[in-house]
Amino acid sequence: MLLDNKFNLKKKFEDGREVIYISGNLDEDARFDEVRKDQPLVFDMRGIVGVNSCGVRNWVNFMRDHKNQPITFRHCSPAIVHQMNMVPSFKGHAQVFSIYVPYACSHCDAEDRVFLDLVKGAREAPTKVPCKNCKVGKMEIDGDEQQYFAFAA
Amino acid sequence: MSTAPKFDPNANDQLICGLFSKKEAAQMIADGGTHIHSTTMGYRDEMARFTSALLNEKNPEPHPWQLVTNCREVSLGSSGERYKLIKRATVDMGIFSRRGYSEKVECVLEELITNGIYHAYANADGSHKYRRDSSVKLEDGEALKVRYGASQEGIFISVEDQGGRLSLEDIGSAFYRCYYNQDNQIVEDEQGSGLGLYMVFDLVTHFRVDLYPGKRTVVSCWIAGRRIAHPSIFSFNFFKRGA
Repeated sequence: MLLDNKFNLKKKFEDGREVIYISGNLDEDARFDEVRKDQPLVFDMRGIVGVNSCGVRNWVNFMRDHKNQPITFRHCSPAIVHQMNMVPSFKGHAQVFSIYVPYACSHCDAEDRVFLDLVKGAREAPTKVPCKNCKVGKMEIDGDEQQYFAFAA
Repeated sequence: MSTAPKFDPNANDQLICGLFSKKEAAQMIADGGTHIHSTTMGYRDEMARFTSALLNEKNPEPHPWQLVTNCREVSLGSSGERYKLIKRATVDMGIFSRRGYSEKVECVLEELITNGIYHAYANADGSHKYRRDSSVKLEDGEALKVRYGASQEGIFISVEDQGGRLSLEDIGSAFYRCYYNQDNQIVEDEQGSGLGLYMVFDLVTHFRVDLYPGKRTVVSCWIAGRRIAHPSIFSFNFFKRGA
């Protein structure tokens, strides 16, 4: 939500296809004018750090305007996953290929994110992972696991 | 999860206790419920008992979760200041480096502040005084009071406007639309998407509104720390004063 996290959209060609990297805050200033309407879309969403209510509307309108194109979300940050759970039309007809799951250490309170590739069948996040910070505690999913994966139901 | 009890607006006791989802609570609020506690302790729950005691008071006191000792109060006079204030709040509360937690707190703060600026103030004809797509400098006497504080158990946030226009009906209809009508959660309105309060309620543990009609509204929230938070433990309270 902060000033130094302005919304940004960048396109890159990877393996012969265009990947759209979006980052920063998805808010009322987010614009998607440069996204094409004649090809499948792949969004990389690891850089989205916050989404406000007007940003949700912007995005849902975007999804509606592109409803005839196959859309893929990959590397979804927790901010994106929370929105997919709260507002189902945020995900719309998109396929979610991969997400990040937030973890927190029960010993030192450090946070981390674990990548989960949903295409490769990893439907469940590991219950506990070693803490890289204190190297003593175990990290557990930060929040309610069932709620976090509700979008995939 | 138990079945939510049916809210009876004619019952004398306005306090509803049980173990519900927020979706079930939204239905009760849409039906006119003002004091809802979801807890494993039922009416023996400390916070519910506190609410019960407050119901008989003309000027309800704060709930215990509103009494954070190191609470700060900041005045906000324009829309342009809000991001600076939010950043300052996360730094002051020591959660700036805790990404997951601070994202939640930033979202709650931004939605409450935005509501305060763009929805609290009206022209004589009842239309919104400030347009959502404009940069706003509030007039004298309209500044928002933003309070925040952190303890080991969680984060307290409150935003007070000087308009007093947030009604239970507005909250109930927004919650109902967002929880029960998921294909049409979003409002196509120039003032906003209609999602803000729903997003806040969904993120927080305790949610309380103190409405002084035509004078001011205080929306207060408690976000429990990660070891304490549980999705089925929450409360909603709406106090209308001077009615």
